[in-house]
Amino acid sequence: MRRRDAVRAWLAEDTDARGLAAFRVLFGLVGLIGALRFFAYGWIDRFFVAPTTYFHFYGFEFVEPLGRAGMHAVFAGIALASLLIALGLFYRVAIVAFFLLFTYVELIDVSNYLNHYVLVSLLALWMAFMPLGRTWGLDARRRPERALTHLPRWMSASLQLQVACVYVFAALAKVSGDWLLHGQPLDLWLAARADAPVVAWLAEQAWAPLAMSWAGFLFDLTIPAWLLWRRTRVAAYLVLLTFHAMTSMLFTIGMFPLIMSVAATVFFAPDWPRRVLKITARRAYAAPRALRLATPALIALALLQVAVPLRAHAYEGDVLWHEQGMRFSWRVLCREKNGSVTFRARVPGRATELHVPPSRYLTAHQEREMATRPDLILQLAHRIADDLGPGTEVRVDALASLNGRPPARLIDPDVDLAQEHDGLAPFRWVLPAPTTRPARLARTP
Amino acid sequence: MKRLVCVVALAALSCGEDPPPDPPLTGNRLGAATSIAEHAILTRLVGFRDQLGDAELVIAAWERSPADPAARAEAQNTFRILMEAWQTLEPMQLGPAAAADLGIGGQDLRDRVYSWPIVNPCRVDQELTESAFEDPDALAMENVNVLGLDAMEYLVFTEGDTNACAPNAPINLDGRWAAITAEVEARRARYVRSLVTLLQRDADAIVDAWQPAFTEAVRTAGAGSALFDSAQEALNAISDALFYLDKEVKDMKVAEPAGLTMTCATPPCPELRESRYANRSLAWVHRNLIGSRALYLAEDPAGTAHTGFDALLRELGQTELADELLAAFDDAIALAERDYAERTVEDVLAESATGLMPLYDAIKRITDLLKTQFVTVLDLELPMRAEGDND
Repeated sequence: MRRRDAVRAWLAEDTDARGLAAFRVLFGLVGLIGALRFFAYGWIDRFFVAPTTYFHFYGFEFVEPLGRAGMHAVFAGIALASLLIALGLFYRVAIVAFFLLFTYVELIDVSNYLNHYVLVSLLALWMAFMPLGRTWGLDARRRPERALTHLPRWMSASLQLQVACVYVFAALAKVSGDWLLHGQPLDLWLAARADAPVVAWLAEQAWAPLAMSWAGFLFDLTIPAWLLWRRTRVAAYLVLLTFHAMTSMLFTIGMFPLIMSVAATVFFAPDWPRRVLKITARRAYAAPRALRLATPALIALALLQVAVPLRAHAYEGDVLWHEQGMRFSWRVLCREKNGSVTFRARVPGRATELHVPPSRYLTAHQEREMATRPDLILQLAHRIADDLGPGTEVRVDALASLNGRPPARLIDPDVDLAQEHDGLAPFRWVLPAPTTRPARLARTP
Repeated sequence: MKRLVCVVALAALSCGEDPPPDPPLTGNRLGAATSIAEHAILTRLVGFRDQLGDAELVIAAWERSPADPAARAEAQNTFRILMEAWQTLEPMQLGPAAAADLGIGGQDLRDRVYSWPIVNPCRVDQELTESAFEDPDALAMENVNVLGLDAMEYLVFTEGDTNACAPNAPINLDGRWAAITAEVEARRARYVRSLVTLLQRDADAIVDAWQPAFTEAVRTAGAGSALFDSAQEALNAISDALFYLDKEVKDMKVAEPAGLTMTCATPPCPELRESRYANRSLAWVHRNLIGSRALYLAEDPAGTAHTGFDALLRELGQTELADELLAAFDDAIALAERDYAERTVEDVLAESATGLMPLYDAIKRITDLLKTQFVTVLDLELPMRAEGDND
């Protein structure tokens, strides 16, 4: 009982608000850059206007895109909200709008799922509970009486928990024979990037794939701790920057390195901007009492961050193969998997079976995403069955190659997927993962 | 945690059993990309361009005697020779020949040579009633579906004074077609002469765009190339071309007439074949397979394989996959040559409604391997995919 009180007191303790204010500014700028990239690269049309079929998240089947003008408006809204967050102007409205708009965009099509998008949404959700515009923001200028110099510790602690979850669960996702014994898929990835700067030398070293696999695993597992410890913080952050710079060179991961580099600043001492900028505090404005204690809802939110990724372990077999529990569990860049799917439809009254290529419904991007994900294959099977009318049976020839293994059947070809349903229960129609070793690229003497 | 300990223990054990590791080989991706571009593609493009010079003479002879069956037969034979060469190049659509919005360095030049599946014989007949076809410069300004080998096929294999438009089409209602029926054969021959002139220009344009600019862009990939930031990117562009076998050949040229697709209401559907006038659809599939294999092997027209995907896979120790892919190519080509290349789609389907299935399955065996283990081992990406983010 005494320990719980101590924890509560610690969480309610005043800490310098400038660290989180700096994080807010950086977060807003990253959000702005991210939204502008979608305009600059034409991704709004490509991902949210051009497709004729969208894959829905289970439970969010009602989410649909808004058409070209609507989607451009949504991204303009995200950009504006990001700018307001960075400026600390109308912060509460801006952060809530950002969270809603960004999350809406994420929910439109599962094939656009990216772990770092989820992290951005979750950080925004946490930030919606924090008055971050009242420090170093235009809101504080507009209403000086509401300015804050201190915030309760639970605010930075909750963001630290969120970011730590990403790293630690990403490490646990790498606890597999492929990653830790065979150095796959890094072996395949390094070989394909042998002419990239810096990577070239590494790609030629026999030990590199396995060593880098272990390094990546240990980095993910321990970096939150090194960042939390004051003595190692600076060195850890430099390592983190190097790590994300390397991943940026190796992979097409867009904003991920930048987001993680910004997110890691939540581990810094709360007064780090004041020290770096050598600002002398003139007057302290502590957080009002109402802000000091985390509510049960926030505690539940924190527990969810741990519970949701763990759900993957409730399913038998290899999650990288059956993919149940794969999303929202921070399995970041931990496998190389490609598939080939042909839908075979038996329509009442038609003598021959139809072979429906996914390209009839999907963009190239969507097809590649769908081809290795059983729940998306199921969704498209239902769409085909709906299009072809009542009584249509849909079976699939689905082959997949995981980390360079020979292709194996992913789904039972005899099961009529039109009769199967999405959900949280294990998919009995997904066949077991192959037990062969992953590919191993040859070595020269 | 227990799982982690087990894995660590296994790692330690395995370290003790394995021989000391050798340095890894990352594979000569740049060499493969360059070799495929130069040996497999550029040589065939030059060959196609050179064949057009011979074609011009034959078509000129037909133009002089449009009613002569022998001259027409020669023109038809010339078309077959040209199309066989082009169908070998169809799976090699990258660089200047590729669509501008899909391929790196794409200039939309392929559609000017052969615009299938955007073919429209009625539009060709409309052109016949006008005068633009007489002047290659004027004809060059028209849409691609009245140009190239598809228009040529229709014109050299269509006889008589009927047209491909509906009875209520303007050219049939306003008397334009009726006005030219007496000289329609001569017009067809003159139209084909203009087409061959344009084909020569377009083939020149493709070869000129390839040499030196595009080959140089491939050769310097990752080292100052104007188009490719890495050798892997150049290899990606080539592997994308291989997927012509999946969408265009398997899913369209074979599956549609076989009645496997929704475009066929009452299977089978021989009318959905690619070559509707020369009736060479299955020969074209055979040539597509040969072209795909040449691309995969970096094989020159003389049949010598250079450093292509096959050599790259073997260099990377992926011998089983390389053997399996090569066997899949060889089996499909042998099947196409033995059972299909000299037959029409109608004949095959008349003999058996499922007569195209062995060919479909043979091609699917190749594309399944390409879409799964091949792209995984070489870590290849679709260009559309590469433009998004990953994590």
